[in-house]
Amino acid sequence: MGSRGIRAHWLADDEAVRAVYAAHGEELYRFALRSLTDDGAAEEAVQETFLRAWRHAERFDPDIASMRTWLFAIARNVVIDMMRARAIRPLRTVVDVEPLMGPAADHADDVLRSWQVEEALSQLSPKHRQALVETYYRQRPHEEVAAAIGIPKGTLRSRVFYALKALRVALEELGWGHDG
Amino acid sequence: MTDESCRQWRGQLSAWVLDQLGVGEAEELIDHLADCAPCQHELGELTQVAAALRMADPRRVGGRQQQPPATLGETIAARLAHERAVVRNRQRTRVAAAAVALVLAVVVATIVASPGDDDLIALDITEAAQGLGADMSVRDWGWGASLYITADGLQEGAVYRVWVEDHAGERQPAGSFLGVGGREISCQMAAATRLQDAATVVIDGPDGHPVLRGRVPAGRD
Repeated sequence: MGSRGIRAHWLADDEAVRAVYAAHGEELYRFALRSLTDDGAAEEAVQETFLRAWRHAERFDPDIASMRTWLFAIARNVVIDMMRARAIRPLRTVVDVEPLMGPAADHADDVLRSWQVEEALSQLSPKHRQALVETYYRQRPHEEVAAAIGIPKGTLRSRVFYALKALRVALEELGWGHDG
Repeated sequence: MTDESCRQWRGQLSAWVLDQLGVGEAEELIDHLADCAPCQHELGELTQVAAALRMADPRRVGGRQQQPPATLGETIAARLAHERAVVRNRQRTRVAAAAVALVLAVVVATIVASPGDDDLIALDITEAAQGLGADMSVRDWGWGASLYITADGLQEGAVYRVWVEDHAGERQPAGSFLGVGGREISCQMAAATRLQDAATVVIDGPDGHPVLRGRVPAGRD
């Protein structure tokens, strides 16, 4: 009875499901796609994530974690299960399969963290993202990048500083550090 | 140092955590950091973000955001609607099965009953917790009502309390029994409520919430 009561709050009807999907569906899909590198598998993973969320709605406690964090925790498990299933599906020997059990979880966690950083970077303003991509990822000297953009070197450095601050905020909103 | 005077060091701090500060500037910054707590704190935060940067694949940054198929949201809504329907049907089936069992029990009771059992009235089970099956009947004695209960799916060792509610919702206790896991129990209880005043028999589970309700059929003398 209690679980039905909580379920009624957030996935109990089509409207509620659509609202949750509108808020988190795209991010979940991109994470699944990043992990599984297959459109169909990513779709399946998002469906399965919502299904498990609905079945275990009573476990969701907004005082402990945001819905996004909770859904991503479920999506992570779904992705791990699908990775394991994939590893097993093309008939392998036990020797081949066993070592994949632990690393599947590690790999999913690595992908989740990588995806979070990439998603956070994508959410930055174009100027902030450009500053980080050019100076950090492409390792171009500050003087060169500043000249190419047409701003003083000090302004570019300041822009990198604020880009890092904005990235931190975006990462926190994506549950960075809360997904264990 | 105030936060305002630290503004000039921000560019150096970010360059430092990204390994892009020249030796001379790095020495100046280190001197400054030695006695500036706000900049030390800022450095700690920036270092964490810089560490995160290493985890991204730069080829995937800033490109076109992959979008899920436009139909995915509706597919999920439809799938969950189906799941809800399945659960509802399962619950309905369980209530129907309980009703069938009740009819059988009444038929059997009618066949084998002693003459006094004509006054035994089967209750309509209106609510049963998941996994719980039960039949209940009552008999009027003038001084109150006696209850006959058979139930299975009870929690081992848990205390179940039985009440008779009158039409005003007032409860009279009818006693309690212990659940025995995996076996059907059969027991008889009594409450100080006359049958004509009794509306519902309620069994509360170990957490004090109702797990079973049986309605006394209307229109009895």
